[in-house]
Amino acid sequence: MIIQSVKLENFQCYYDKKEFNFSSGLNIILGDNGEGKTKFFEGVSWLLDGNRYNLDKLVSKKKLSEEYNNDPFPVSVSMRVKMNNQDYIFKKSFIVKSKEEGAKTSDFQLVCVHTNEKGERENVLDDKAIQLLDETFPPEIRRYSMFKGEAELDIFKSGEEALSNLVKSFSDAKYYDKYCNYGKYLREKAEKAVDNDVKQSSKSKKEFDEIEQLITLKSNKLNSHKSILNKETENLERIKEDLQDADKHFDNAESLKVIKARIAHHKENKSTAQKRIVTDFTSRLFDEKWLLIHFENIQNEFNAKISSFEKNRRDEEERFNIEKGKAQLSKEILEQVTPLPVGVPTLAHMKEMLSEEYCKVCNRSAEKGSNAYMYMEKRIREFVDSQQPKQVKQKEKLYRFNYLSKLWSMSDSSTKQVLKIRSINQEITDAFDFNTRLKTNLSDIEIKLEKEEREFQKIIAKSNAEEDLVSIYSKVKEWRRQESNIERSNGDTNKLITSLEMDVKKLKERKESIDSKDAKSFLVDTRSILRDVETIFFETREKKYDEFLQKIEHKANEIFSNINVDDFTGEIQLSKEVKGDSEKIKVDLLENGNLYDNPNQSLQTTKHMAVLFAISEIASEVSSYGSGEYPMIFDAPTSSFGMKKTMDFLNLVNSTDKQRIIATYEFVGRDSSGNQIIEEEFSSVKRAKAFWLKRESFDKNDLSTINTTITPI
Amino acid sequence: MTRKDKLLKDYLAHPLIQDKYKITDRRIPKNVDDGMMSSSPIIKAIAHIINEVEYPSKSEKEVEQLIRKLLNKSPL
Repeated sequence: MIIQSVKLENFQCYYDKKEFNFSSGLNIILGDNGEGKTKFFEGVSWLLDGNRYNLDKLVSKKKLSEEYNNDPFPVSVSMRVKMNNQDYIFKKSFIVKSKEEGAKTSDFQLVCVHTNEKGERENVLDDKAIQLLDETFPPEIRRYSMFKGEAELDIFKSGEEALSNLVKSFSDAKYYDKYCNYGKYLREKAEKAVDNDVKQSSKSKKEFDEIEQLITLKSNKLNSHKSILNKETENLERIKEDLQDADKHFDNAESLKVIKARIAHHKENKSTAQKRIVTDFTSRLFDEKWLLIHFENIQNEFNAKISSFEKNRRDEEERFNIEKGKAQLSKEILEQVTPLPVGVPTLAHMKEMLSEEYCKVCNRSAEKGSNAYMYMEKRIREFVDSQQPKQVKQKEKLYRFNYLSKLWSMSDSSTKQVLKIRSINQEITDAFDFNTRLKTNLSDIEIKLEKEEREFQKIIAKSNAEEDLVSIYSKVKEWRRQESNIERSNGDTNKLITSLEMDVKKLKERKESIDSKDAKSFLVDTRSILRDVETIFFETREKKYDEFLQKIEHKANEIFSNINVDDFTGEIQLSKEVKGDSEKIKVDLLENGNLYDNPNQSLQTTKHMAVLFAISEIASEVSSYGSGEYPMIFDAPTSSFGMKKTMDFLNLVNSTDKQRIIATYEFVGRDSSGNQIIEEEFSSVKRAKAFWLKRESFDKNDLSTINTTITPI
Repeated sequence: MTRKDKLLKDYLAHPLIQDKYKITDRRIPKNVDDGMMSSSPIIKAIAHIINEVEYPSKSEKEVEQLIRKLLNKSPL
């Protein structure tokens, strides 16, 4: 089966219709945290296995807010698959009405459009569609096909059903299971037949009854002690696991401390850089007169205009004065006299001449009332007036006011500023350069901070919870005490069990001797055969299970050695662990034949992935599923790998030429401006297809602005 | 090879068959039908059990009676 496309419509962060068109090989979905990788995974999971609860949680908030009180709209996830040259489109959808009280959703509907080899189409709904979906992509396969995060990769960690589920799904060993029960049932019946026969014989009845009672008593005790031992062993294992985890936590706590300090340092630098970056230049425009950057030109223009005005004024005044002078001169020329200056002759001479009525300047008489007399009187008045405090007579001017001097004064005071203003240009350039440098620096800090925060999250993921660390420290002492107590007590219980087993064995031997003496021989023979039949059935089943595990182990090791090229050289060991009635699969790492304790998370993940790929290969060989191959979908399976190992891993997955859809946040980085980019290293990753998930610009505080876009790379 | 014949083959490959019952390869039946006709009680028992488990026609109790009857009649 190949997934050809997955379409999401108004599903969570996928607003409107978004489609992934997949290839049959390796498909990589890149996206930073929160960009929609997990929502894609959840979309596919919901289509395959989702229930009808909380459908409102699946609706795109953006669409919901847009369609408030409008017509209902659809939410759907559909998947187009190809299997045995037939096309299937599975679409799960429901209708939403956006109302004041929130989203009101209809029930969902699953539809399958099936196109057979002849091109005939049929549409089926609900139960029939589910049946087709299960036939196309069987639930047993899905269980081993879809994984979210690294933790889910360890399919054997919890669940005693893991082995039987695996066998039931992919191995013929399942056919041997029921024979074990049958063999046991037949053997018990044969035992009872012998017992009944012996009891009918009066000879050894009493002794037989006593032995039987003792066997029952001791067997009950034995079972009880075994049960206690099992429980205590489980407790001990849990405590040991807790202690191992605690050791990891101690390491993680130390790492966390370092990373937290680094994060705090980066945050402080970020805050300082943010404070220093100027985003509002208004104050500098006014306070620091940046606004005047082009003032010099204006002032030059201003000065030129004043000069021009001044020149014009002077020219005008010159012309005016000339005209005025000309008029005066012509008047004087007309009178043909040139008056003496005021004060010549002196006032005393003038008074003397008036009193004598004789002009001593022109040497002629000047009788009172004559023109000469009046002239002299006029001259005396002029002289007296000239000696009076001056009543300044406004000289006749062309322009009454002189604004030009004020303008020059303004210009002069501005000129002093021009030198400073001239430096504004450089000041602005420097300020912007400085801002750019700060922004670059901020972006670098943010990249570092993001890296540290990712690292922090990785450690937290390994530790489960940051707060647990403190409480774990306090519990470790108690766990150590319990560990020691249980180990001592289990030692005692083991001795008791060995002793009881010996007792029961001896009692059974005594019983057997009575049986062979008193019971009919054919009954004893039948019992003997049925005991052997039970053994054969049981051991053959064990052998089949072991063969199956070895098959997975072999394939897993092939894959493991490829993934770990130039790295860890050990191998994976799968073994069956029987405790009471339960069977578990244990997956260990061996190095030179010895158990490799405390492998790091990356190695653990590689181990689990190798096992999963092995199971997938085995699943593709199982005839009951049409011996086809099935896709595998992983959401962030390599969080602990780092870029280099992720590259190697993806290249290996690509080389398998099987459909794998892997979402990862690796290879998404930031440029110096803080914008998301795909790192150059991704060009070395071989793949069939790749997609880049990015949210359109959105408001962090408003989910209704979120819309993931899919860009094929 | 049908599944029941494969089951028979796997069970009869168990070491007990050769070691304890001294049944050589030559005497190992190729299919369940032959096994049910075998002169070896253990082979006969296993073949009948497989036949009844794979194609159930009797209750567990009836199968048990059938097997015990077969074995009780058959000397080791």
